[in-house]
Amino acid sequence: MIPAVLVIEDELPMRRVLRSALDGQGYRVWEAGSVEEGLSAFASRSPQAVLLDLGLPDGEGFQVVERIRETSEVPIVVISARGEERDQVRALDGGANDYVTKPFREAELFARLRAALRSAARATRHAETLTIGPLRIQCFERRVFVDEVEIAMTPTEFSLLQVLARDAGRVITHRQLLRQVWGPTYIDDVQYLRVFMKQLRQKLERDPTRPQLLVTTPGVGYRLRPPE
Amino acid sequence: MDEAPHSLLRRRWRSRFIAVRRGLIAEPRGYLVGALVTAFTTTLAFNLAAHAALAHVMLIYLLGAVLVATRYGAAVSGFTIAASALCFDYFNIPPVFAFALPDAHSVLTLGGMLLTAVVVCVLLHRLRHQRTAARASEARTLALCELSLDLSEVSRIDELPRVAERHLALLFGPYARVLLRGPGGELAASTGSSVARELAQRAVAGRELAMLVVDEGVLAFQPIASGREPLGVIGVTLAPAEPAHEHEQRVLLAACADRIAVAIDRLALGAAAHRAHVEVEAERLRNELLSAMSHDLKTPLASILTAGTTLLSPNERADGVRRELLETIVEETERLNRLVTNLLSVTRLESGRVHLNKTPEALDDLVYGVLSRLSGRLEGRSVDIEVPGELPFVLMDPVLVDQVLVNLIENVLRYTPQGSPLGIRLLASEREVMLEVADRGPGIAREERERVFEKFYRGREARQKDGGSGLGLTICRAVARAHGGRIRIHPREGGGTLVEFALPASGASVAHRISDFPDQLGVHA
Repeated sequence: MIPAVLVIEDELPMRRVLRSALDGQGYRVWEAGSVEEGLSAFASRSPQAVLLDLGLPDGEGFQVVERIRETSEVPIVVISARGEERDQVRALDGGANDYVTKPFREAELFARLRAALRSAARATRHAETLTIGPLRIQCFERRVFVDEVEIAMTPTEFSLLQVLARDAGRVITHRQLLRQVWGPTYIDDVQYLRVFMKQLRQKLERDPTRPQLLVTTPGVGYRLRPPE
Repeated sequence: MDEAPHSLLRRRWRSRFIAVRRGLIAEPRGYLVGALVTAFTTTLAFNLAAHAALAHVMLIYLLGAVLVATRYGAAVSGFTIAASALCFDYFNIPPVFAFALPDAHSVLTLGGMLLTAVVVCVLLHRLRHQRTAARASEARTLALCELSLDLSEVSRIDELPRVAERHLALLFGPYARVLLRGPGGELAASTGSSVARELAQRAVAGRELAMLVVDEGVLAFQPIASGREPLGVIGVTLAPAEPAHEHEQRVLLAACADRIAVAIDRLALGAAAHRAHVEVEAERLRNELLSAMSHDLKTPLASILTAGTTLLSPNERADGVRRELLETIVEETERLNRLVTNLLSVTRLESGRVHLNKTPEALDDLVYGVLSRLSGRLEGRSVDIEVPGELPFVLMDPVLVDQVLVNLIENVLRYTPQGSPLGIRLLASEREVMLEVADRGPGIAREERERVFEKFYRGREARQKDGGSGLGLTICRAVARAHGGRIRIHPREGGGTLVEFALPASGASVAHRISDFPDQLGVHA
């Protein structure tokens, strides 16, 4: 099936560009220019993914994320001109799958969109084995291989890696990671993350001083980046 | 120990002033002194009467009266003269022990004595009055001089009333108020009572001294006048005194008001001059900024527009040419984006309203992230990284510090020869965590090491190359300052530049060893 994407964006030139880019990649495109239009289009069209601008004439994109998440787990990629990391974190913590900052390159947008669609598909399958580039994770056995060499992991390291790997390609915020790995009482203890990420890099990266797999997004979170 | 000249001056005039005030007040003790002196001269004259002529005896009385007159006022002198005359008549002019004046000779002697005593005393009093006036005037001059000196040290208008009030209190007594008029003409600060407020307003409205007799003396308000409108008013209580003295006090009050007016004018002129200077400087910066900005913004825009319109024109073009034009559009847009992003950062940071989202961060983590992102452009360069085993977490805004790291490393990429090495060193002390970025480029001339942090300033070398915005280091410095840290440029031994970027170590003890963190089971798999 050809995936349908709902674009909620009030700037016409941007919408035009997104439409032609998505068309070119073989997606079907629905368009909306406001929070209200977006929500009604979402209800009537049931798209497979949503591209959402944060600054809309009749409200904030955050509201759209909240309303959609009440009923659906559809992948949402936020497109925002704001460089403000706080907005990005808010959208991600609110349930958006990923974000791209304007201006962006076409390739970046589609990489994020594909990753969001993939992880949505995976979430429904509960894959037993995750393979990301040189990395292979056997979830039930809790074993990790890099280039077929098994790496010893502590339970926390494994949980952290698993959370990142389930949504490979997508930024997971500090709070999301802390909540899923350590539990809700630890959501402000960012330094735990720093220490364990360092450990993970030591074990998994070819060159821990140039991490290519476990990537930091300053002020937002971490991403397990699948090779291009 | 050295004393400031004006504090010496202050002590001198204060003692003078007190002396003058004391001299002007009649002393009840004077009558007692006058009586005692008279008793003494009478005794002396009575004992000498057998050996001396009446005229000589009279001189003794005269001497006593004059001595008293040198020290005391007219009333005491008059009393002493009268007492001396009576005693002279009673004890010395025959018949002794009687007030009778039997002959012309004795009348003449007594009259002569009285006349001489009165004339001498009047002369003495006049002399003393002049001396007192001279002293009072000197004290006044000194007091005003002191007031002017202190006022000249005042640098802010809101400090002025306090300083002036201190002086007025010394001169006139504890009730001293300096009320300046606000922008709307109203009197700022309190007068102490509604009567005083009304009087103060009357003085301002009438532009003249307003006085009212109250229990403590005379409440007097003098407008501080300069030009057309009074700048404020000073209020004091004048002690009840003889009319001549009251006049002096009023003159003194007016003189104080003048000094204060001069001081206010000086402050106003200074403030205006400062404002004008700031405005000129801001205008200059704005102009420089605008011209630099319009050039930097318009250059990429021109390329984009030209490339776009060329692509739109109906002429057929080779694929290679089309591709080149499209690449131009993309590259120039990215350049524009960088510039606008940097401009926004600088504006945000320099507005001082930037909110730092501080989290405990490992600086090495950020450095690795930046190196990883720039790894494509770092190819062909040796990167030497030195990180201590235990680097404490630092409270910082990771997004801003990340931008600093990118800017510093991009500078090296942009301004040092291809293939030259890059050195990164992290150092931790108790007070700070420091990052050093070292290169083997051409170096930065001594006179440019500070200027490169200015907005849109580009080093001599940089000006010949393209792509920089002249804002990178400006942002770095703004970020360092926002964090209470610092950034400096040093020459490097053997050529090249060393940039030092330091952030204060967070006071809170942040655990940084793996053993300090809970692992789910606490055992390794």
